[in-house]
Amino acid sequence: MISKKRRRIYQVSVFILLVLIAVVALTPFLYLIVTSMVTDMSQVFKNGIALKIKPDMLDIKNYLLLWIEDDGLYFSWFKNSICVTVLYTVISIVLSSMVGYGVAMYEFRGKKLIVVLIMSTMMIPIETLMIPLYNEVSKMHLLNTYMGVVLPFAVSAFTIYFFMQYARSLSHEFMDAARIDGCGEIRTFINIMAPLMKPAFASMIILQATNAWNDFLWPLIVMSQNKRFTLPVGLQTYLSPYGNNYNMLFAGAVLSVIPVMVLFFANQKLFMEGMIAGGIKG
Amino acid sequence: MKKRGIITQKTAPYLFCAPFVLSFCIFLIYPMINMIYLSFRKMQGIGSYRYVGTANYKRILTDTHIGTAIWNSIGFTVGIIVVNVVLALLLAVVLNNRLTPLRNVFRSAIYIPALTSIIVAGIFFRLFFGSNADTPLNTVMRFFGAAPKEWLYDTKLTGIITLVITSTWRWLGTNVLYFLSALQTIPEELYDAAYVDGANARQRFFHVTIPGIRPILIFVVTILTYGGLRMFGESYVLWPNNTTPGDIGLTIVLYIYRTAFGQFDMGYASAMSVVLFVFLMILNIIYIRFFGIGKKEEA
Repeated sequence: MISKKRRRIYQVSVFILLVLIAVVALTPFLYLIVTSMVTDMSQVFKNGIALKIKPDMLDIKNYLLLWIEDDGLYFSWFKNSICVTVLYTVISIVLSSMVGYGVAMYEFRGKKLIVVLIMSTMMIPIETLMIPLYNEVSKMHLLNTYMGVVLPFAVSAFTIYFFMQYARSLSHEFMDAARIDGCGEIRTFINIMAPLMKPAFASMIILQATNAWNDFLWPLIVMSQNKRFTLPVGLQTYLSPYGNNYNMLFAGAVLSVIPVMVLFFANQKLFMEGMIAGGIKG
Repeated sequence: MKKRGIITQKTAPYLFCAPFVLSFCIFLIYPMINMIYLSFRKMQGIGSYRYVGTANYKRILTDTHIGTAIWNSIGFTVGIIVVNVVLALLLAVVLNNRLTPLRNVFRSAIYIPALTSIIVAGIFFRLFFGSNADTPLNTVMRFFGAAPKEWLYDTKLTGIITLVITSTWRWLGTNVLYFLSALQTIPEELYDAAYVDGANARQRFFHVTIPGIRPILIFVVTILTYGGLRMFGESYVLWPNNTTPGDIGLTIVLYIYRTAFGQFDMGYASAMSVVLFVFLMILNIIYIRFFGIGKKEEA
């Protein structure tokens, strides 16, 4: 219906716009990767982003610094981040999928109330509760522990909501068939129904893992010993230019992005489709 | 039917919902009560408090820092909503069009910044907003004949602009995805019908696209409002010093954080949290009443 010429004009102009946006989106990564190899960081600090980088300024020394300085403190942050992310993702996905499934598939007294509470919890900004939560975690002797970071937010209303929406599309016939075969309710969930929700699990695992890996405010509050920092909290201590800080900040930041990127690119199709198809439909 | 012990079809849903109920009581209701309790107290030494009545609340009214913080947060929120809704919607429409080349590549490219932590974004943008005359922003300024600026320390407004740009870089991709998911629910026939009726591209956008994505539009505006008013990280990394001249870039949550964990004035910080909490809840109710979010859920 549209003429060929107009189609061509649209495609070219849209292509240029998108390339521009993509360049803006990706430049910071490129910049960080190149700058992380500049050894004379005073240059970076003085010239900022306008620094003209010549190949002879580059070296991988900064990455070696991460390994050597402070007995490899950076890599204990890396380890902490991995532990927190794995713990958070596993606990949060197991518990939240249970709740989402339970609310979606069963009729029971109090169901309406629970749905309303889940919906309103989604709206509660956790930032306003950081002080009492800090006191509570402190009383539970969980400061500077992985569980202190993970537990308060493990049951995520958003994740519950996502699973709830997804489970609603499942047929009750599978449940009934499983029951007739003598499956208990829990085994029905684990063996029959959960596998049917695989796409929802995939999307939420990637999303929750990314969030946990990048989370900043709460780990900053819970972790006060520098050996217990997660990557964002640790890197933040390098933000002021002092000694080798800047060398380690850039190199450390680049390394910290790699795990999430790997996770994303390995599951790119699954993730984008899951988010777009299963996203919140209002 | 076989005997199934305690977990039957009747009791199972309660077991499934138990994690939520427990977490709700332990990590939400209890802290909320504790916060209200603390807001009437002043900390004296480690873990001991003295009752001070409504002194903390009265202090909020006369605190000049909180006034600036509120304006910064509101300015940032308005900025982020305008930029993110307009830009994200435009990109989503383009990326949803079958004629657009390399759609999937661009979708991913635009989403990738959402995978980074605020620290990574902060490192780049602190240099990006540097005062040098040849940074990209200042080159643009000079092109228009204006003097180069030190964006991070110029005025409150430039401070807000830097915050909006920094967060848009990380938030845009997610919002594009939300809009894309909504656009895919609009049936193609609606566009064809509008086309046959002689509607031009602009009319099709305002009379087919916008009504079709209304729920997600409201959802995005809502999360941007909350995201904006509770913003902390962007401000924390762009100005890592404890104070900035004229409180440039100071946001409400950052001020609460510094009061609580910098000055250990837990009572006052709690009072501010209570006020912020109440304010956000009122906003919640207004949004729900006004836009009707959640109505579908009750059905």
